[in-house]
Amino acid sequence: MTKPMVVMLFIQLHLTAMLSIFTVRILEVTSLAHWEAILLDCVLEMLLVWVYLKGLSRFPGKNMIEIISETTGTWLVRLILLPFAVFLFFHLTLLNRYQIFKINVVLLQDTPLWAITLIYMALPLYAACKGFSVILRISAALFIFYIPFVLFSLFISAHNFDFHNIFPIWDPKMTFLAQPTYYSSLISFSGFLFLGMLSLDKPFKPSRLMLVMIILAFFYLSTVYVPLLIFSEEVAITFQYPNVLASDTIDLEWVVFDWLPTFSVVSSTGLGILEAATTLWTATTLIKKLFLPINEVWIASGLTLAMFLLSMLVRNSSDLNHFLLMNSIPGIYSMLVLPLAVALSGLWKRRASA
Amino acid sequence: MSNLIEQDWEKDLIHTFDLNSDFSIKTVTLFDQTVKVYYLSSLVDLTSTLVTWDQVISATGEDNHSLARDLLPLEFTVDGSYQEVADSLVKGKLIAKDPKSGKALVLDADMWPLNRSISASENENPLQSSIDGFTEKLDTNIGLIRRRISNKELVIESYILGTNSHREIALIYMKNASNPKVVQSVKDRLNRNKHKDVIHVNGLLQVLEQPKYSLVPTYLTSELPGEAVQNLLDGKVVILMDLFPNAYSFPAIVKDLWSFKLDLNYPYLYLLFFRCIRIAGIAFAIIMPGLYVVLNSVNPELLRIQLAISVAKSREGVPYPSFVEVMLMLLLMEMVIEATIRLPKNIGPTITMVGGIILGQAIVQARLVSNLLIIILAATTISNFTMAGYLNTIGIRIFKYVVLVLSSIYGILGLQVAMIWLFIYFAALKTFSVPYLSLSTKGKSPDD
Repeated sequence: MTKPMVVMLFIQLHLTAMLSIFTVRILEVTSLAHWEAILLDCVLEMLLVWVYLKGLSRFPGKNMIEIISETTGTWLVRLILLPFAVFLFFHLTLLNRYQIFKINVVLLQDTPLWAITLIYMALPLYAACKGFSVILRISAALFIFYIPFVLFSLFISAHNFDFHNIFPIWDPKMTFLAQPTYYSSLISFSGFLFLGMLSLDKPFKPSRLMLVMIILAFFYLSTVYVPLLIFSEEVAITFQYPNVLASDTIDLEWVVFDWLPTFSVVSSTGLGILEAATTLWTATTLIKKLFLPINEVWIASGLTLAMFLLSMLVRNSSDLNHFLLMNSIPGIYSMLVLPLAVALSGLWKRRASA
Repeated sequence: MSNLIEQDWEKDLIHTFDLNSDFSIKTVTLFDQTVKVYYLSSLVDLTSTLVTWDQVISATGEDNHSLARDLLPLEFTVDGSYQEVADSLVKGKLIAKDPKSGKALVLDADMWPLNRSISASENENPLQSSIDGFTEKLDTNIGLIRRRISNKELVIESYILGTNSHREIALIYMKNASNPKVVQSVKDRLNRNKHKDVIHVNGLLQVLEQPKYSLVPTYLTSELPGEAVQNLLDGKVVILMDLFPNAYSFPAIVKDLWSFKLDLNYPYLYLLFFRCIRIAGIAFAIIMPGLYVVLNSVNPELLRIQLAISVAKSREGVPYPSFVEVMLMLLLMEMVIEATIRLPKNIGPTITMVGGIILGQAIVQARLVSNLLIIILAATTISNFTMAGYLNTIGIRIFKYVVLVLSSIYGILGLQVAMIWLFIYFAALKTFSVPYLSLSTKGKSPDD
């Protein structure tokens, strides 16, 4: 387990999140000055990551569960982390469903959804059963293979940018803050939560990760602004997959493939498998340590089976959006409470030792 | 006199080896004493042995001969243990009966030259490097390595494995380059499984507790000492087995799929070029058949329309789905490879010619497969053999069927899933605690 690998995983988790629901959410909540909404999210995440890492750095070699239970005791930690477990479970189910819908629409119109779900969930299960260091190694391998694809599919349509669409650039009222949907966009920034599960002997320095997050902020901006600059706000808001469509606006002679959105879908679903593996591993570890001390393989298999059945119940994308919105409540809870609980445990420890 | 009384060990020996036509009992005169000797005439050259001994004895120049003392540098006495005597006999030792005590003396004897001399390696073609290859004799092989590394950090340990049949192996590593954890765990396993008989490489792998089913080999084999030496310097542990003209280097890592160690005899730019070609070869070999099926039957819309039409045209009149078509041709190709690989050199060309005609011309004209598939097939096969190491090519040859099946079910998604599955498999694979997806075996691994 090396730090560059963790950073690679961190980047890829964020890329997956921004390539899925994020663009649509941001386009929904405001019609002007989207950058304000995006950057506010980014700054909030930076703040939370900073608090989280500061807290973790006081407990080298321990993970977040051990840290919180040290101060609160077993039952309270179960109560605090229960929403996190719920969030992970539904997050995984819903995001998988999202990816599967996308695959179904773009690539495999005739293949039944359950068959796609089956293969799409088998891989994260396999990876999660092998443990976190394996996931890290996969992430390093996929990083080399997928990042070029992601960059290619994201910026390929730069030719079609119409920079007039960037205006209006300023929204003094920040009207998006009043919309509940805006807060569900925060879920796309939950990719940092796995850091607490690592039990690193030498904790991360927050400053290094901040640099990575500034680069990521640029990508968050691009995922929204690429479709926005091509289609203009009024058109982009009508799409279900704006990024996929953005890569379809271009025709490259030298690529033998005609349908460039394939690259976009293939790369984002590939990263989706990685995210699913990480989330499944986090959920499995959490459940094992807090609620059900049995073999991980059983927990992971049980979770996957439950997710498979549950995701069959999500029939269309409006259902999906509804559930995603609901799941953002435990999501935001976890994003706020986990870093705070860890940081407060750190403070408490310092006070106790002083 | 004890010379005349048949000892227990003699009776047992005669009883055990009586049926063997090469088991000889002779009475020879050594230093004016009549001595009974037992040996296997297929292994021991008795005349030459006696001449050698005569020279040794006359060099010492003493008059008062005692057989046991005179031959002291050559022998060891066995007190009654019949098992040791029998073991020594089958290894090609000469058993003499001490005329005074009646005990068995196990003596080194001159053996018939049953070894091939050092020659160019038979199965690997080194370019731009020394061409001598390992032989079947362990000591010669160790010597070949020793000569190439004149470094005091080189450690050569010897082990004898097996209960019924003994097999000598040598464990070789560089003290300063190898990962101490790997060396220790190899030693532990060798000691733990010492009793297992090792007849072939699979036996050695069992002793080393390697996974029985593994897509890629967890070790590298090479007939070239240069290759083995570079593996040693890279921190790998090399195992030489008596009677096998190969060096087995543990553990293999992903880099070994494309890096042939003798590339280092080229300028660096050329080395990079070769390795890039091989990496591309691996990608081609895995993806091509699957991609053909994807573009033909599941996701034809991915291709440009002109290309899609020409692909479809080439399949005009082919009576079965593209999956069956590809499967058929791949299997045929595997059979050609399998058939030619061990055939005598004067029959091989026949198969090549017949295969060439069928695969290349007739099958297309009969509209059984498409033109394009022949190109894909050729590209796949050629690219498969660009990889470094023959063993590595087989794993990839097998894996392309997984890709093929998943691609024909799930199209481009299946292709991607198969690739990610391969990554997960590689990521989870560990040999002696070294992850397969590491890029160096030197020193301590940063992982876990």
